[in-house]
Amino acid sequence: MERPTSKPIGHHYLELDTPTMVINTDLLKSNIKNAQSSLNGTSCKLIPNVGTHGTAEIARYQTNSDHDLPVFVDTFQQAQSFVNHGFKNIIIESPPVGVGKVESLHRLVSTAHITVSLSSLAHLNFLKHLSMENLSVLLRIPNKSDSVGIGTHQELIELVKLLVEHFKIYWKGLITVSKGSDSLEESFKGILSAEGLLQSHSFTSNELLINTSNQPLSKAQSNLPPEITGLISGNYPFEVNGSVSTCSVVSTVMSTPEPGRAYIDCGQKAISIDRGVPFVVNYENAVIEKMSAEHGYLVFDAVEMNLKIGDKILLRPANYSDTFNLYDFVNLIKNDRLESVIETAARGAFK
Amino acid sequence: MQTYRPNLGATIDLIETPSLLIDLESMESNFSVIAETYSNTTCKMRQHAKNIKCPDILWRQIEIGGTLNGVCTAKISEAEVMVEGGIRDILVTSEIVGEDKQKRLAYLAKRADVKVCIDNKANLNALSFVAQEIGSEIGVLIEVDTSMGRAGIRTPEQGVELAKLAESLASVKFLGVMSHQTVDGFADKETRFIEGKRYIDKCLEVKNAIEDHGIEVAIVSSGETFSYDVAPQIEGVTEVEGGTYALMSGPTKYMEEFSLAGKVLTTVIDMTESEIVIDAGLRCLGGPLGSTPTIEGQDNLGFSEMQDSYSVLTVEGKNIFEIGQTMLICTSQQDILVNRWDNFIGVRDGVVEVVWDIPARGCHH
Repeated sequence: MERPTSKPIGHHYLELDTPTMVINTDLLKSNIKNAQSSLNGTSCKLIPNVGTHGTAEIARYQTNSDHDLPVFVDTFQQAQSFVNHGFKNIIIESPPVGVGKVESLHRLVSTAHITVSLSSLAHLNFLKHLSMENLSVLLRIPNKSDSVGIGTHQELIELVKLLVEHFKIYWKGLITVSKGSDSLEESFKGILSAEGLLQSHSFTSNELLINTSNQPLSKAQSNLPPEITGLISGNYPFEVNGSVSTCSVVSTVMSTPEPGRAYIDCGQKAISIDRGVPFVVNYENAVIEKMSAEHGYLVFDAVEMNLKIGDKILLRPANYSDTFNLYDFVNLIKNDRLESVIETAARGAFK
Repeated sequence: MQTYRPNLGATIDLIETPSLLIDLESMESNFSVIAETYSNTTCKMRQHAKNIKCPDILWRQIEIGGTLNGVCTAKISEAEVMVEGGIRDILVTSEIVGEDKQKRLAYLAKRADVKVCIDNKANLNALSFVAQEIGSEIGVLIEVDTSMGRAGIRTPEQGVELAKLAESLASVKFLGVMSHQTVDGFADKETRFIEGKRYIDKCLEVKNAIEDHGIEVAIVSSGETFSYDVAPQIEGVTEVEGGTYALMSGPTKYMEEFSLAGKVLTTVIDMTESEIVIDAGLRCLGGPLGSTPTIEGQDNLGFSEMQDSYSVLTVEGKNIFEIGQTMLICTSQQDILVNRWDNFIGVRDGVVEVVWDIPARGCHH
């Protein structure tokens, strides 16, 4: 397991052991506040996807420490991690398929209100022996950007009927996933059309949720229909503020073997390139050429700038969630000083 | 950090998914290939810990044979974990920069035989200063860039200068040269031998140049999995830094003597007429720049989408899969994947035999 930095609180962030992930606390809080206020006056609530970062500390900022507010996670293990940290209202994206996950669900509902997302009769069958007042169900509706979900209108109606008439599990409503800002409109249409169909059969959802976790909140909010009751978002705490990064990985130049090239101590094990190479924050003329497992290769115009061994390079991940997933600890920074070291307790919670 | 551990003796169908499995028979077979290859050679294997991150597994290779009883690590933090795991001969294959890390290295050198790579004078001077202050001695090897354009000296003359400086400094001991290289794509045996020798010869050029100046070169550490059988045939190479061979991965399948031992067990959690959804996504599998894994024994399945915690696979032909069905994922990039997990579940004949923690997971420093 990764060990936290050996540096004391108050240390300058550029002197931390590298590579390491740092978060500007003021920008983080400001992003969260702006996101929350942007939905003021609407009937839609912001539901943080806390699986993006896996830390209880940041989740508390996102919920103003109100543990009864809903948070969204991907897996049952992530849910357990947040329940262990006092969170009481959790929506889980994964369906409870398999004995282990059903047992996890049993444990979770003994201490928190859990909502699971289902998309087939097979999923419902995994719950058929359960009767739990702390359990709710959302039904997942597919759309053009997301093929996962209930396949046909008939199946949707059958599932709702079963839930309402035969299962003692609360059917909360519908959820859909928008995987790109260009597919938002289609996602809205898909979930509203499904809701219209249900209403024509005398069923009404209490919740209509749209998961836009991997896209900027501002885009997700645009043209949000008034019927949508919840917007699930993951990246908004870390969004770039002007030219300043809220979240970055600090690395160190280890070798400068040729003019215009620097070899840094951050590779794919410390910053993910699963969804793109990172952006160099503090040297605008330098770019990451490639990354091995442990190292990165920076190229730049040697006439315009120079780098020497020991210089610090700040990298902004192409995807925050992927990079949080690599760290057991991340560092909160205030006024360029280490303010606290927080644990990503839900890291590695794949089940 | 998550700590799911199945019971020993549990059958594979009782393992929660996704889980990272090691097929023990395959891994031991891989270790035996190494033991056999190096049984009568002066050149030995120095297994790379960055791929496994678990001293207990590295010990298995040492016990089975073919090694010099030591390992390589990519980082100082990995080296610390290996020494804590009882391994006493460590080569850190990256330059160690910054006083704090150099101090860690110097202190570690009091507890074990610790060697590190260098490629410039400033770094060498700094290591000497720190080790002298702490009262230890650090072995140094000059890194030679043979093909990858990464760290490492570019010419034999640079090597000679560094070796001379190392000889003159206190608290560092000049030991030799090292290099790392790779071949792209599917490499047949002939290509491996031609390319492997070409790269290793560049490293030996530096060795010879240094020896021409009367400085002894005790270690030539070069070669890796793709050239594991090339290096011992080249006179002068004393050790090979192989890592991938232990668990293997998709891109190195051309090394047919090694078996894929590291696989991720996953469950089908959803499906449509032409797709299935499994409960393993990017977070647990990794997929650098869009690379995708494969499903063992299922040529009709292809990854079409990888999300945080699940993946969508397209089914070619009739979709006969079922929700709840499990399958094994063959990895596309092994050491990136291992670094995301907290334990390995060792399975033999479908039964859990051992669960190993991965104590060097996340050791980025």
